[in-house]
Amino acid sequence: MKYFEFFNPVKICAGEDAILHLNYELQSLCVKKPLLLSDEGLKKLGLVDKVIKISKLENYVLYTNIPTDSGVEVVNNILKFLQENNCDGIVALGGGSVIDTAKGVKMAYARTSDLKQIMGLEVISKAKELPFIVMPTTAGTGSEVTNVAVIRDEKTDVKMEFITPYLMPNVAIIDPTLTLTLPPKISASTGFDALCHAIEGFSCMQKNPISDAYALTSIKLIYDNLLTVCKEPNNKEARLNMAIASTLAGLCFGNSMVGGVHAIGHSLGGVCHIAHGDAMTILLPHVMEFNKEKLCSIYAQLFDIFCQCNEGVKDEKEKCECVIQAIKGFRQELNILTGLPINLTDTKRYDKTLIDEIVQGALNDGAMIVNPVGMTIQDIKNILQRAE
Amino acid sequence: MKNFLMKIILHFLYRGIKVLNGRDSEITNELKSLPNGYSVKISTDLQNGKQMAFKILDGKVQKVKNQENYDLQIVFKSKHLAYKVFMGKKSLADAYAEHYFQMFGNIYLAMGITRIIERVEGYLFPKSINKKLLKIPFKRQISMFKTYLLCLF
Repeated sequence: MKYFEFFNPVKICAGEDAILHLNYELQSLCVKKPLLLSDEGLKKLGLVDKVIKISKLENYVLYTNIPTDSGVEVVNNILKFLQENNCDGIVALGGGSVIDTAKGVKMAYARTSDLKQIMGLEVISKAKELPFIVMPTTAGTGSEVTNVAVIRDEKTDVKMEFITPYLMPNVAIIDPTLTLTLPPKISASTGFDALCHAIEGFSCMQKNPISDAYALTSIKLIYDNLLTVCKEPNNKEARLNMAIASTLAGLCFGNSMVGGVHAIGHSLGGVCHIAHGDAMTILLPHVMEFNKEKLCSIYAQLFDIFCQCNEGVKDEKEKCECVIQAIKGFRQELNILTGLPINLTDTKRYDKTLIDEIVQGALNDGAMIVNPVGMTIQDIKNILQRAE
Repeated sequence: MKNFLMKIILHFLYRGIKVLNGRDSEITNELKSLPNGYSVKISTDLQNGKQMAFKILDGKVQKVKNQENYDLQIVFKSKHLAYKVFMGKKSLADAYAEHYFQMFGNIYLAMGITRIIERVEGYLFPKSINKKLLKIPFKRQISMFKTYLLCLF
């Protein structure tokens, strides 16, 4: 019998006009002067102004100088800015980078020590609280409900990983209008990232009955809505379903963690700068092929979601094969529709000569240890070759 | 009794890392890839647990006593949980997945240490336990008997 933990204290406000609840949520957390964090891209798109206007946000301070690859220095600058302006809470409006930066600020605020001193797994204990609301503008990372943050140390170029329940937001506001401006290719890439979170969360070593429930609902919502979102970017219902699916996948993998796809994908991102969602799209079926002998019965449980037309299939192994083929087919459809890369060469960033560095990065990634099947250096090389 | 056993096991774990450095190619390579001076401490309980600490200096493994800060600290949440791991009832990967311990430090570098510990355990445990614990088939580069002899003397 295995032991598991499931923790999620985040209040989720999801659906039509969810933005209108921002003021109330701030009030209920006793925030009088929030710091609104976002990035320049979203400001230029007019999304920041739109949220401020719709939510009638007042007495706030805005900070948008957050780069895509945010780091400790950015976190420290924001903390200083927050203290100088006497802000008493954070609202993070953006994708993974903005949200992770905001988590960094929350940690730095709670602990006066250097972030480097609190790196690790379940290290931080409850400390000074800073109310924290997240409004995700992509449907993929699930970061609004996870206990993980990755922050780069600019000086050493080390990506510091923090895994602790105490960096989770108090509230996540999921409003479909926040993702309407996402181009189809990014919608496909981030959506596949969410699918990958759910499938890895459903199959890796920390899986448990509670995370499974979130995973299955998430996978179904993604399979039923991602193509629609790419075909009809203004379809609010499909956008909301994708945003909810991403949050559900976050609730799942925040507790059950992710495995080999993420370990190799993180390394491809770090070494070759391949976009995270693209790496997930490319690697998922290959890692499933690698894991299938051990995880056959788990993958077969996804048969009813992915293979509704193949009613005659009864054998577990066949079901597992059908699921992997269906995921490949799903990926192919997204590729035709949006140009989403489905092999490493398509990304135009993959450099074969760096394979040893990629493999080392993957082996040392925290996600690798919870992949149910052990991967050797040669196994990772084989997966990368097949994904080329 | 558990505390006593744990003390012995931690001693063998330290000795195992030390004597297999240079004798097992994978352990040697993993140790080489860590920064010079990298220090590790393992505690078997949050309070009053048995402890083992070492550092890697110029490619050699050295015991450390009374050092204030460590690059990596693995602290088990209970000595009973640590006992399960060090008696071969639970793999280190399973223990990681099941929240058995806290890990202070850079997770990227810590993964190398977890692979070293798993491999040393592979030398110290019999094949039947290794088959159950290790995700990747394990092949000894020196015998279990020789490993124990080297650890003892």
